[in-house]
Amino acid sequence: MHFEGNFDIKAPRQKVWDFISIPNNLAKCLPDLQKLEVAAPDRFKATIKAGVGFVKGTFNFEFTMLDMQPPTHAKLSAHGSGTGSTVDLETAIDLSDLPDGTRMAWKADAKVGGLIASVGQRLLEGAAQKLVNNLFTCLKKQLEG
Amino acid sequence: MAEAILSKEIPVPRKWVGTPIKTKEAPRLITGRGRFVDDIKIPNLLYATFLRSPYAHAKIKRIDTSKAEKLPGVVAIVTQEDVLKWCKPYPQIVPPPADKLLDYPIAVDKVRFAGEPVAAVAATERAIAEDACELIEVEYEPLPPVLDAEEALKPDAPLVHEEVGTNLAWHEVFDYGDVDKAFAEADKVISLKLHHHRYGGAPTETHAVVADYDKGTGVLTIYCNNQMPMFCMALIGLSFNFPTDKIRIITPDIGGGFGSKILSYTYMMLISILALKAGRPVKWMEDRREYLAAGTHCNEATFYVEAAVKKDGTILGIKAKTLHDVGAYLRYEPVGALLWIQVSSGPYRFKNLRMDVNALVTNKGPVAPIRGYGRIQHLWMLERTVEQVARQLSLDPIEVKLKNYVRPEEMPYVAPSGATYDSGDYSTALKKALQMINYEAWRKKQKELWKQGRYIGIGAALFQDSGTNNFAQVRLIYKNNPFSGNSRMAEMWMDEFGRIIVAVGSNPHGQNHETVVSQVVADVFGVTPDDVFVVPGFDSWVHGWTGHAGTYASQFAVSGIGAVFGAAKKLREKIATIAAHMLKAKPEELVFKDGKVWVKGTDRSVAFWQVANLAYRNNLELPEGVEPGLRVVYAWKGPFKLPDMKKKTLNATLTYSYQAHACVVEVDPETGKVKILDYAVVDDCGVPINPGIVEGQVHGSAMNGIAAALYEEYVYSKDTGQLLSSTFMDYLFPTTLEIPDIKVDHMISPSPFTELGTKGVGEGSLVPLGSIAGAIEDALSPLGVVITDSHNPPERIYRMIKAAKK
Amino acid sequence: MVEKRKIKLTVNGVEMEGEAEPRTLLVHFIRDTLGLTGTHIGCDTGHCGCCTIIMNGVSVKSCMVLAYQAEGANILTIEGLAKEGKLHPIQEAFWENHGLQCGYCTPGQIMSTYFLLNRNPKPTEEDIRRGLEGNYCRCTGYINIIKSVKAAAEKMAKGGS
Repeated sequence: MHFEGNFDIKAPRQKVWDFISIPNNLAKCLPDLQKLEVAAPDRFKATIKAGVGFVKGTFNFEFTMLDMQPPTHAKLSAHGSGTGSTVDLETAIDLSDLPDGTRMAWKADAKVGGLIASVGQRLLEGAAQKLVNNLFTCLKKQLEG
Repeated sequence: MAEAILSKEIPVPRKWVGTPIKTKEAPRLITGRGRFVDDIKIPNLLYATFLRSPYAHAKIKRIDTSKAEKLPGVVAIVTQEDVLKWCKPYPQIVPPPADKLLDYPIAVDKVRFAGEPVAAVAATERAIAEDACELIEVEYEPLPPVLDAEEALKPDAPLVHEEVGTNLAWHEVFDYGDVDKAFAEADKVISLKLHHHRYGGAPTETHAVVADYDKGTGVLTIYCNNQMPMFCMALIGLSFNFPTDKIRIITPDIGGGFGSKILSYTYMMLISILALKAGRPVKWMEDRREYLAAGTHCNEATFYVEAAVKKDGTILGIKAKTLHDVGAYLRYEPVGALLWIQVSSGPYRFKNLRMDVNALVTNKGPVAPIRGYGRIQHLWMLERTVEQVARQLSLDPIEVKLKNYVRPEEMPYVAPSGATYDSGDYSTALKKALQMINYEAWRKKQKELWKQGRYIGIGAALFQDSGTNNFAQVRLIYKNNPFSGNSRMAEMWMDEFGRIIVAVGSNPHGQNHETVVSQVVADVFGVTPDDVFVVPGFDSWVHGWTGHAGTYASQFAVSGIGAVFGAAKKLREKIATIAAHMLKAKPEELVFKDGKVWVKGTDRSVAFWQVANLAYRNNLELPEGVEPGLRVVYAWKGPFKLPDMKKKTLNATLTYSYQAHACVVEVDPETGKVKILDYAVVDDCGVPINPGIVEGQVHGSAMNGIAAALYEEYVYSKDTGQLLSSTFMDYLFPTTLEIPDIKVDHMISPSPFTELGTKGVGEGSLVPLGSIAGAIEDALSPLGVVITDSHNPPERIYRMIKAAKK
Repeated sequence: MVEKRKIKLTVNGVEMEGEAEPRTLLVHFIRDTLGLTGTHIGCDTGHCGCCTIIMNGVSVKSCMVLAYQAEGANILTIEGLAKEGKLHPIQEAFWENHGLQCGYCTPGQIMSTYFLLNRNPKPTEEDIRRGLEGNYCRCTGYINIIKSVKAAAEKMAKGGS
């Protein structure tokens, strides 16, 4: 599945970059976070609860920040598993200046496998879209105060 | 009219053979007393479940079972480490390089399809085993999957099996007659690309295994619902490091098979390994999601067809390049890619045929000998081709079919591949089916209905059900394959009280063998079917078996019954010898009737128990040279020959049942939904032993075909190879509301090649795949829609209508 | 450790009890704990109907009911239909009309038929198809099953139970 979009945040670019490059901050916006473990400045593990329709469960995710080009470009890769399912995610974020803030252009490619991909397939895109929207709305809120 | 006799050797009238008596199996099944594998209870039983791959294609980097092992109630976990200790890779039947393909019962180093077993857990309760699976950590390195046969052929395609070096597991060209001449002489050449989709057997009972290792005797007893476990012993014996003399295989009642319950030998071995490791018996019952993902699919095939024809619709020759998508492991393949040779020209009499056959591995579930294995794909392709021939020549498809059918006077007919059709009258059958749906009346109304905006169409097709196969056919895949012929074994005895008992090496799963066997035996001995006890189920220590034993490929009425009949004749002969001695008569003067042996035309007789007394307890009174006891074993051997390896011809099947189907459908142009308005079948399976059972199988096969044509399809996601139709929510198993009433009529063309004139009938060939495709195309013919896929759900039809209307 | 609780219920006229976890499905309780294996399992999603029983007078798919929900319930399974060795007219009708082949879906078909005919003793073919819509069969194509139900209705009208 491929998603992309733009978010305009009323905050300067450096502030946005500083915020998203710290794992603890990003983690604040993950759905139903159960546990967070920062292994290194560019790697962290998070246990979240998520689901699609009636297929809900606990997922263990490993996030790795790659290709960091402050304060313009970041790549985040994630691998999660749980509830007989797997999620492999590649995200790219590009920041650019706006007169009153920052534009965050983001792209995400998700490969879902196992139970959720097969049984939940009809609901998957909608649920993923919702998750992504919630994530970025949360980030925006955190940054705009 | 001459009274039908049982056979030349036993010229008694058929009293029980040919009657639709109630089945012997029903009493236990209608009271819930059937015994299926999951009903089996053994002390100390553990319950197994599998952890399966969520990826279609990935390397296995690490498996950590430590957390799972600590869960209270978990007794043993099996991963590739254990499997590599216990198993050698399964032998393959293809020539090099694909013979190097590594196939184990569990994923080793790599997972190759979503749903492939990665670990097996045995615990004191099923729920605990499932919990344990969630605690097993597996680290995968995902690889790009290849999910299409044509993609798999490309030089840069990801390799499913690196050890083979290619995804093309088998390629062979078969050239019969003079195809180039046929094409040179053609008035027109029709070209078509066709796709036969993937669906499955989907019996209501899924796979199940109970493995019980007795530490005292060293015997491993495997209870399973495999349709042909003794055939699978060839694979188990060559792969499993366990002494084969101590493996006992039992199949109790089986809840349907339809060809899918053949490849469960991988599970039979895995659960056995789990039981050996756990030191306790282990039971596994597959759940439906596992079945749909990994329980075996039918061959998916793409065809590039060309037909050379005359203006008047005469077919001169056909060329086809076929790409079979067989999934991640070969297992029985490429047999499915080969079995078109059992029909080759189908019901048609053209002599020139070139088949360029390719079997490709992909990252999808492995395929199995699903009902109509390898023939329905081919027969469907032929039917689509012939209908397009008609449409492009502006002729009536039904007239073109009738024109090209093999004629009854040409029977036995030798088709291009050497396939010899024993008997049949295809034209009469098709015409009869058309009459049953009031074909003429519908044709008259059709143009008017089109004007009203109603898309009603008529389709008719005839598929053969080639039965009783010659295993030498696999030599056409690779000359070194040590398989040939066909055989079945039956053991029969009369106990000292005159009761008859039969044990047949078959694994019935709905075919009601106990009933049909008792009917044949009753006629031989002049008793009633209630006087004949057929030992239920199968036990390799009780029922005689050969390497061909099992219930598959439409043949029990020929091979199994052949063995039963042979054993019955042998036993009858022995009884007659003893009775003749007791009655001071000649064996030829004796008649078997009402549980006694009589001297013809007199009132002198001996009862069976009196004969048995001499044989069992009183043998000093036996005639000279007669062994004590009344127990015989007989092995039926099919009258086959080895193939002509140069011409690649072979008579691969002994009998040819066939069915003509005709239907009327209405297509809703707004939704693409197809409604069946009328459906008729004419079935000819030679001499039916029990017409009630046969008719049930005809209904079931028709339903299977309608399901495949309109409802059932295995759909994989295009990017990640996930099976999307993974439960009955999405895999649309039809209900009473989808299957219409089906009219059935019968013809009887006895087979000249079998002792009782019977033909195998179980598969039925799923003719609706042909008739419904034809009817939809006919309904939409004003729009010029061409049906090129075997599966036509509303969305596909809707899109075709939209595209045509532009 | 997962909590287990004892539940009591009446099955085929006999009071029975057994232990179950909160997550135990009624079909597993009937098959594994009570030992009545005539009720079968054919899917994971409540579609196939092989597990059909009568619970408190209504046909239910026992895989869609938790064992705990059956506390105090009155249950009829396939094993309870024949009385003292005499087959129920529905069972006879299925036998006489070849309404089964492998027999795996048959207990479910018969229990659904039992519920249908007790509610609607004179069903039309449409009523029968709708009444058995939740019971899958792979062998028969449904045609002989519908024939069996019609025959059962006639038998019961003449004075079966």
